[in-house]
Amino acid sequence: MRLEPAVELDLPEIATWVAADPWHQNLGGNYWLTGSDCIFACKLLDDEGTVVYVRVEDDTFGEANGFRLQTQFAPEHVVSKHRVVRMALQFFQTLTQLARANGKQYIITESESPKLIAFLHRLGWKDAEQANNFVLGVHYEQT
Amino acid sequence: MTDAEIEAFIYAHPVSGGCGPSSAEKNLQREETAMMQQYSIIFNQQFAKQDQVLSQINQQLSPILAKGINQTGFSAGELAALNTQAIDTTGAGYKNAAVALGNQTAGMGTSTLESGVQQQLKAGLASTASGELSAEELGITQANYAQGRQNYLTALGGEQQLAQAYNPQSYAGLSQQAEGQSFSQADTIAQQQAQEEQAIAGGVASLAMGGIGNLDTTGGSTGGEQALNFLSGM
Repeated sequence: MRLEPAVELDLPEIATWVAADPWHQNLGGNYWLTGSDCIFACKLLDDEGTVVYVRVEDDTFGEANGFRLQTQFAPEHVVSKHRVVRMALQFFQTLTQLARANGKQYIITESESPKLIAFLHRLGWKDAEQANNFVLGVHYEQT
Repeated sequence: MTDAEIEAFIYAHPVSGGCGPSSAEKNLQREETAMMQQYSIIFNQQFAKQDQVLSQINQQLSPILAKGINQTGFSAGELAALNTQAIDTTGAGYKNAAVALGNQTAGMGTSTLESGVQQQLKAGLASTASGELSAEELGITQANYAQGRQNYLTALGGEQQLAQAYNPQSYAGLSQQAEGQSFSQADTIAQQQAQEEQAIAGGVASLAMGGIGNLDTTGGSTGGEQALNFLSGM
């Protein structure tokens, strides 16, 4: 896994992916660019190239504080499901460590995609109170 | 003359020597440009910070974090040196013990051939030495994993440091500052326009003032919203 800045040169690719994604039609391409108003936004790459674009924002729920993860996937014929799953497993691990290092209690993401929701459930994400939101608790070792 | 023609006339012929709505519009454009420049600066600053975060994750932390908490921490050289040291120490201990055993049994009259008792004692000694070596090696392995765990936790500490490198709050502050300045400029325009209203007679000015009239001067809108409000009034 490699994290690289998402820059203007990536906009055409982002636009193509967004156009093919029924769940993210309302998000503009700039939303995914590194430097936009969030904790960080970037693209995740494996040896074959870009797998997904991600954006991590601060999130608050009551007194709890967490990371909100937004993900822009590619059409399946461009990036295989296998690559996405492998990348997700690695990135969730890294993001969890980053969340823990920042004292966050959870990572939350929103999805209406049944396949993605099933995948998240398999990885231990739980249904959040907000509709279509799924949360992964960040656990701390007791010292 | 239609409204559109009047608007076109106003653009082409600034009233009152260049003052009035046309000037206000230019001010707003300048304000919008300045705001965009400020956002651009903020974006670039934020980009640099985020890029730093990404680089650090890539270069320093992910390789260690990817191995998880159950990883070894010694380099191959360190591990070899520790193992050699353990073997040498145990071997030396065994040698000393064997010499001592030889001295103790020297008076038993079996100088050329080892008695069964001596062989049993030496075998027991070798077994003990072997057990000590195993224990030492186990200790090394434990220390190796302890070091790996320490490396992992240090990596987390590194992430904590990089987390402090960026500060979304300061970014928010800058945004608010930009919006505040923008709003301040829009508010100033509105005040100036009010003064011009008194000076400029006729409906032409008030027509072009439509955009200004749409400005939210309560402070509830951002600079961008102000600009949009203004444009919607045209």
